[in-house]
Amino acid sequence: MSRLLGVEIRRLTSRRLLRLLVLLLLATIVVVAVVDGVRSHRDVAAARAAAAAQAAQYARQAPPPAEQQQLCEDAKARGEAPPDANCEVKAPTAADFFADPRYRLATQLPNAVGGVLVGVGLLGVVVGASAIGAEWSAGTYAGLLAWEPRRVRVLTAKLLAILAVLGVVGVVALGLETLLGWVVAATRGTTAGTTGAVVSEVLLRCGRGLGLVALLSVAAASVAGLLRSTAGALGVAAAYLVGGELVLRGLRPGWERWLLTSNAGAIVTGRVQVVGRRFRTGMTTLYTLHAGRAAVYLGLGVVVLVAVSAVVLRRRDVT
Amino acid sequence: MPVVEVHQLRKAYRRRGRRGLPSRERRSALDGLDLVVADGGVHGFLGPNGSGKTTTLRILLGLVRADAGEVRLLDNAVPAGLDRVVGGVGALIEAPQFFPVFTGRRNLELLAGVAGLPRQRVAEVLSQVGLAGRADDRVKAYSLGMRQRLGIAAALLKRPRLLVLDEPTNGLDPAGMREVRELLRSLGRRGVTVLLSSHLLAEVEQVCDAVTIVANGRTVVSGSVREVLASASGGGRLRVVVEHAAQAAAVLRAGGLAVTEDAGALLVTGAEDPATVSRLLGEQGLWLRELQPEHVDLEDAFLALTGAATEGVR
Repeated sequence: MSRLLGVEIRRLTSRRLLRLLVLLLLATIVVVAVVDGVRSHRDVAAARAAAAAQAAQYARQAPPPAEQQQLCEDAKARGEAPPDANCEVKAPTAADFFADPRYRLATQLPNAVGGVLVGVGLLGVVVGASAIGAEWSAGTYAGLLAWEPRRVRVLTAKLLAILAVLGVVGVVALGLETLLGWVVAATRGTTAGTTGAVVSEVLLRCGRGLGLVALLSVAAASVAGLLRSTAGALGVAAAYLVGGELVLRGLRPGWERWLLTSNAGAIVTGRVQVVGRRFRTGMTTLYTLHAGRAAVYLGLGVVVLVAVSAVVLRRRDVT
Repeated sequence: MPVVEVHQLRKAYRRRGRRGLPSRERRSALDGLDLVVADGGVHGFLGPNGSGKTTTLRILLGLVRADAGEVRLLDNAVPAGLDRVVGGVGALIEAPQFFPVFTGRRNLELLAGVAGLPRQRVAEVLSQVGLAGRADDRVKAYSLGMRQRLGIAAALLKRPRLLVLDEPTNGLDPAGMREVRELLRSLGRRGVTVLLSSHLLAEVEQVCDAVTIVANGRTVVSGSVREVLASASGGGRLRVVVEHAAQAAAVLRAGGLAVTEDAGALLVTGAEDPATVSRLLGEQGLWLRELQPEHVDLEDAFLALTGAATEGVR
């Protein structure tokens, strides 16, 4: 098995598609980091002054209407309730216009990691589908089965190879993002607030995200195996996301907690709130999807897909 | 002990309906086919298009499941025991398929990795099929003949005990065909069993020691090439030209031989030794002008046998 796995990893890493997509992903991470670096600077005083100037300009351009202000003052003097909520509206202050110009690692890294995970996830779906679909299209699957007739073993090796390669790609991409983020923060921004809790949350998000990438890539590979086509598998994924989910969200908003994207979001972020409908009463309610529940739900779906793919492969005539 | 034993093999495929989807209707590809390949030598596997040759080879390699019948390969049941013997079987089925963007060497190295073979073996087989000079070119730049050579190299990688080849000289130029035939002959002499499926009857006649001819999913005849030729020619037919043909025919019939007349000549069958004809006629004072064994080549035998099989089905 280890020999077969080694061959599958070599086969996968020799593919130009994988190399190209990984280069594209890493290049995007570098470009985004450079842009962050260019936009970040430490002249906070200048930023505060600019914010104060903006607040003053706003106050001059849009002062509260005099009559409205008078009514509010009169009501206040009589000890009555203000005439409407507009009395509570205060003119914006400099703080409202202040945007910290520094790249702040503690707040921006979790979002950046989420972005990288989206990229690795897309790469995982394409590479997973292509690793099996392209072999069927090229006709090399039959050749391989003539060398190793234990088909489930072949499928297992291919899926493990996909997981291993994408795992490495994911760790490298996330590592590069973290490194570049730290460099930008340390040289042109700030690392203040990057506490143990923040680091822990980022690590958890990375782990959960890589788990999701594993599920998506294995699902894509299984569908490609069933259809014997990369394009077919990607078409199914696109049809589900663009057609299926959009239509379901429109027609059955109560089903949102069962949709792939809702559960994927819960896995990456830890939890999401979605609208649901109680089965017995039919009442609309707000559900919180937790990462664990979402992982079990998607994991079961992927296990079923892999099992169907394996059974079909075992029984299929390779002509 | 036979290397390949196939008994009463049956397989039907679903027909493709409109829009290319499988329909419920089934088309029989194999209808009780038998095949026995002895250890060593080159065994030809002949049949018209659609006769079930490739399906049989795919079943042997576990790529297609038989509906019924028994298949044994190197004394192991197929597909149950295939993983125990696959290391001794090399195969080239139809057009060989490789990753087009990988080099020929890379493709073979990946296959060698599956069987745990050393890289040195890849270089050996590339040299054996005359591809050493183009081994580091991408397969997509190969001609059909070069791909075929690469397929043969892949089949040879494992130093197989049994080599299953489906149309191995397809796409090769005459020199390439000759090289491959020489290679097959030498492998056969070295004790490798070669099961060669081919449409090229002259190739089979030149290369093979034994042959099985199939038609309509059934075995028509099997045996050594000489036996098959003899069976197609009715056990050896002689063309006899003699004066007084009618009298001579009567003499030969009286001697227990079958005689038919053909444009002034007699076609005689049943004589194990041509001298028998000469003796029977000489004893009656009838002198031969011509006595010639009729030459039947494999093409004649193939057409006669497969034509008969097709008529039998009709």
